Amino acid sequence: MGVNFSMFEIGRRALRAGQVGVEVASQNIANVNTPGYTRQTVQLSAAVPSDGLLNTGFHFGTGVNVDGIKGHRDQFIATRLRTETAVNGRLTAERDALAPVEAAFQEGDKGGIGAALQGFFGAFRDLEANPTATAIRAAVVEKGNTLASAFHATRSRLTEIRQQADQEVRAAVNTVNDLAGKVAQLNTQIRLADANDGNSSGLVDQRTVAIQQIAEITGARSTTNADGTVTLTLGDGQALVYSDQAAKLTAEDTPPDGLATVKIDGQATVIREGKVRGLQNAVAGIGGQIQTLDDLAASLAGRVNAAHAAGSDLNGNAGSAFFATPVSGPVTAENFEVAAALKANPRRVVAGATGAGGGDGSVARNIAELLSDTASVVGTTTGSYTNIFASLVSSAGAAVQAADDELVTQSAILAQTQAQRDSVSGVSLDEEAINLLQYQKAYEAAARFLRVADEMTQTILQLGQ
Amino acid sequence: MLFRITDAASSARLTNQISTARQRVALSQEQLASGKRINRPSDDPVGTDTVIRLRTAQSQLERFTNNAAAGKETLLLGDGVLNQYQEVLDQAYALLTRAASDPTVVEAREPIAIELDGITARLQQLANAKNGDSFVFGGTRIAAPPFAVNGVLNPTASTEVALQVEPEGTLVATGVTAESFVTDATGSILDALKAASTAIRGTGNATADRATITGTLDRLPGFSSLSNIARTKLGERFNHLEEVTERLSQANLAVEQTVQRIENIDIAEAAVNLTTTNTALDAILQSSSKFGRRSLLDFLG
Repeated sequence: MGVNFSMFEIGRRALRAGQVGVEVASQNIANVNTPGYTRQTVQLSAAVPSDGLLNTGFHFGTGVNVDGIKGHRDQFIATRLRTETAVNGRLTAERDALAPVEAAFQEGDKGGIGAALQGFFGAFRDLEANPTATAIRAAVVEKGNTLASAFHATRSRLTEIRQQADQEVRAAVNTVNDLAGKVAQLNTQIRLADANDGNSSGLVDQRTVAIQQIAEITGARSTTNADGTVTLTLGDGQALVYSDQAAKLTAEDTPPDGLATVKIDGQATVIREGKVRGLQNAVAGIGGQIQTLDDLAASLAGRVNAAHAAGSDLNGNAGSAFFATPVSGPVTAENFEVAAALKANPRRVVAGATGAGGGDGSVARNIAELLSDTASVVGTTTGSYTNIFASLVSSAGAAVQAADDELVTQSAILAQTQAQRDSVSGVSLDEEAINLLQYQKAYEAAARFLRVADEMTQTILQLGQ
Repeated sequence: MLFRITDAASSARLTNQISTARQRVALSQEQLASGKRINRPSDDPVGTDTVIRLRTAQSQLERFTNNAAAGKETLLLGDGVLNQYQEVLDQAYALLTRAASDPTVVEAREPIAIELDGITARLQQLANAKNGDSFVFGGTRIAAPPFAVNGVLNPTASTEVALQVEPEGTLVATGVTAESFVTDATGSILDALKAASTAIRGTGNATADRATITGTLDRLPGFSSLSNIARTKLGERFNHLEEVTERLSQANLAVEQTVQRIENIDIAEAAVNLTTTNTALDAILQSSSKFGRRSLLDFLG
């Protein structure tokens, strides 16, 4: 009977397995709060048994092999998570961009367009009852100025909000370019690591996080290639990242408002989901509201001017336009102004019809009636100015409410998907504590076994002395 | 199969629960503090739409109410002036009756003529009465009074001032023109009285003078009747405006109630909501501080 040193090899392998197990558990514990981290487990297998050791005819095992370290990922859940994140990104951006819009329309006790409309047309109603009063004419002009200010302030606020959203699109494009470059770089590193049988789990996690961020911004979809790299494509199928190549997104100024149009390598592209889509939706929505506001201002100025010009002023002169007509282009909420001649001389405000006498308030009445006249045409909408303005405000509120409601639902879906992802890939400290105990005990047992093997070897060696 | 519950998932769920609870508390607090259920259009877009329309309608109702009040004031003023006009007309009738039956000499009639001239001037003054910048009976004509200084009736046509005092309502005249009660088919009261005054003083044709005096005397009941008709019109219009004012007041009240129902909160309900949401938040915070984030590691020693 000779000395068998194979026990030491078995012990060494067992110690190594225990050590790696503790290291992996430690790594998991260390990254319990790292976003996108994928938990890892040690892959162990029994070593191949040896043939007829010790001439017994029996096959003895040769210990444990550490086959590798596995990251726990579910591709299906990861894809779903990216999709839901993109939808969430769109809705969040939309809600955040539109929330200030309703504030711009919000009617306080005074200062809003609604109150200014009431004040302006109400002043003409007062003038109807007092058609000879110069003071009321001055009040009419003042209310016209207030209405103009309300139009200016609201339009300016809407334009500012749209500008902010547009700036966010440009910033998002820069972020996507940085992230796309990172993904392309990680593609290369992962391909090399996989080719050299290295552990690429950490790199894959980094890439997953970057892809997730790109998806949140652009809704880009990813496809995993055979060599371990991923290809990212935008809504219209154009590749943002392919292997180690990243395309360049640009946000180019587009007439007439200079708003950003997103292009990929100089070509037009369509982004259908994500933060950029949400911002683009918001920009378009706010643009529509600005247009409606402009149409409202133009229609109101047109009808008031027509009615006003049909009568005679307090001096018996033919009436003129109440609101100024711009030198070029239509009246908008931006250039809406009371005519300078009326500002300078309120006696030029018309109350009565031509030839009907200074005590006639029929023109003032006709103008006062315009507020609730359902025949007013604003853009493509026909209705009273009150109703059209109320619809404008309520639609701004409805857009925020819809985005908010959808976001609540989407957040729940995203949280559920994230929980599913965590269920597969997340770290549980309980589990890792058990793993620590398990590998620690295995390590202790292996060490004990080595001591036994050492004692046995010593015993045999002493027999020969 | 049950999910593996990871620490990150537990944290995310807890964060979400606390955030949701805080949002609910904030909403309840905002509603209670403002007393309003709708604090921004997105709180209730349909309600916001309705409130804007109703507020506009309410503003119009208030303007109509103001116009009706102004109209009533003008009508009352007109009625008061016409009352005086009627009294002066009665004096003219009494004076002319005396002149027609008094056979005294021409010199003795002079005081009657002088008194009649005074009455004529007062009637002219009443017909030209002013209300601020405009003439009470001037109608839409404001540049000159109904009668010129020389007593000639203003030839410029005038119509009654009319106001709209109700949404979609017909116009209500807030006065009468002088022409409606100072002229009959023959001419103006002033011309008639001036002719009578001349006749009283005597033109040398006693028969013609008598005819003029009696003719004027005969026309006076007609003028009196015209004045009464004008007063009746003013009274009717005043009553109409009273009814309109009442309707406007009721409509305004109904609109205000509707707006409040849509816009305002039930304070008791909001207070209960605040308590409930606060309790829920406390419960989440307490449970998370007691049991949150414990793991096996806490028990290993």
